[in-house]
Amino acid sequence: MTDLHTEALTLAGRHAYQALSVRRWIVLLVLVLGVCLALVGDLSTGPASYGLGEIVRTLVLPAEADAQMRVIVWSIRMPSALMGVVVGVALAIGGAQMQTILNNPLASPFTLGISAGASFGAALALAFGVALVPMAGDYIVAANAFVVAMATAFLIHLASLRRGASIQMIVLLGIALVFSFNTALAILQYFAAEQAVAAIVFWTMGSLTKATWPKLAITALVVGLTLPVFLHRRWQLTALRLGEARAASFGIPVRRLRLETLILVSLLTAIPVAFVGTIGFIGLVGPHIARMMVGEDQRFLLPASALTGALIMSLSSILAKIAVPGAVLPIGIVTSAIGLPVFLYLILRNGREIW
Amino acid sequence: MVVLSTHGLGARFGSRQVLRDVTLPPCYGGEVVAVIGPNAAGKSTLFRRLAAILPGAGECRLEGVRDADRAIAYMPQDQTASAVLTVFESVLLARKQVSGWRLNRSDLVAVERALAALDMGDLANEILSELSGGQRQLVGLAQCLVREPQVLLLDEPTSALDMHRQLEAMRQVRSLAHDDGMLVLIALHHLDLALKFADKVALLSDGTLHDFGTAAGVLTPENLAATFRIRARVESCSQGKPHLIVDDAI
Repeated sequence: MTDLHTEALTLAGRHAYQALSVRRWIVLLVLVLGVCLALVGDLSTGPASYGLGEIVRTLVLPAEADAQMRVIVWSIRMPSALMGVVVGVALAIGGAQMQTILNNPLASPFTLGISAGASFGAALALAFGVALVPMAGDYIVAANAFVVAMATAFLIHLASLRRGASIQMIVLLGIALVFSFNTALAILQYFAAEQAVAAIVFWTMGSLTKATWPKLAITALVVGLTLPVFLHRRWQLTALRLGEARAASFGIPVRRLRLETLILVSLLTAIPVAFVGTIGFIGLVGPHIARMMVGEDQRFLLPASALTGALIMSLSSILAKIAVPGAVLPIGIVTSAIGLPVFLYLILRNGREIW
Repeated sequence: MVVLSTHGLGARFGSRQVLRDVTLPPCYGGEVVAVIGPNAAGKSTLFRRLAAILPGAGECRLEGVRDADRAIAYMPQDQTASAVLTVFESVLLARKQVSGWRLNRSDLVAVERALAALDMGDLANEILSELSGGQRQLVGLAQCLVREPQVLLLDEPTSALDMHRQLEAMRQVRSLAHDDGMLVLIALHHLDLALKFADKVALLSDGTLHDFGTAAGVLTPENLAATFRIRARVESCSQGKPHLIVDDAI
């Protein structure tokens, strides 16, 4: 009887696991649908008012649409709407992996100072024309932002490798970096010309209006190159969440995995920030919402984070265009307005059901 | 049959030498070898060296291995985890480190078997971070078994278990060795368990191998006084079973 009972229980375990997997696939499908709808919604929203039907017709049959509409949809709205999706994907995956490798629920490009570092790098170029990368040309702002963001990510990694480095220490270091870069930014703004200050302020607010097809292509390429690597290492990365000792006991080269992941994550988060400015909280909130829906298994967590990030960005983009009639708010303001309450909830809530 | 031996094994943390010249005589598949010693004797470090997680001096030889990737499974002492994973998922994760990229039916069946072997079927859908310390240790054991190893390195797997579960777990460990032919090296704080269940005992002290042999041969009053700093002796009870009697600390 006992053997039969045990067998029944373990079978229930396998079936329950398979049922869980099916539920997670359904969540992913719903998210894909949500992103598609939000993207169409984003394309339909803007200063020029067009009906949904007209937008869909222009998307499906661009040759039959009138020239003005084709330009607005395909040359103005499409790059910025797609950039929103791709940036959302990149920041959310970056945040999810930062949380994984640092074993820290509050890790994200925004909270660990990577975005602030990028802002400082960009401001150096905007205020004084300082180029951290020689011959960056038109991309001087993006290149500066990228270099400082990468340097910040490595600083955090070095700190996390120190013996006795705790979760609290890394978070505090991140806060210290945010304050340091903000202070340095304030000093730059104090000495910069009025026009440059305006440019810096606009840049730090984050805006999809800076999106162009080449920028979109580069960001998509980085996502396209890094995501398969993460998916290939899904079992190892998920095992990191069991703790360093246990992951190492499985034969996982924990330090190497962390370093390689951090390099990819730095690329993944620095590139979008360099192109569209500071966009807060997507990298923090996206993965947490995804984790609540599909759990820690990276086979589901990665796509769910990516889709959640994309969805939040698209919805924020719509909100940015309709919140104030006649004006388009910088999207960074909207994502922060949405993300901050969620961030506070994560800090203040009791229980650990999602981490 | 798998045979494990070491020659001059050492390890250091910074300037501190924590393991020195440990040469274990051959340990054979089918044996339970208890690794005992006072705190900071080097038990966990020895296990990490054997599992090739920690670099250091010396050599660990393994003969009669079927598949080098999955020959040794190591269960670390630290079983804390904040991950929101079910027990089934956690054990599957251990399996997937050695069984390829894609998830197959054989993986799911292996997880079922490992859970059933430890009588843990009812925990399969529980969340790992919500389990008790003892239950997490059982999950750790299942994570080792699911990899179908030939050598099991268990670092104090019974420390959080109650007396009943300690005995049950040790019986299962002994069965894995005696019935399935695994070589089990198990770090134990509870010397009575070593006395009852181990075929051989390795006594570590201050990072060195102090003695190695049968439980009765190693757990002598002299060895216990020199390493654990206790006055103790092994005596047979009325049922003829050996028990460790601790009189006092020295």
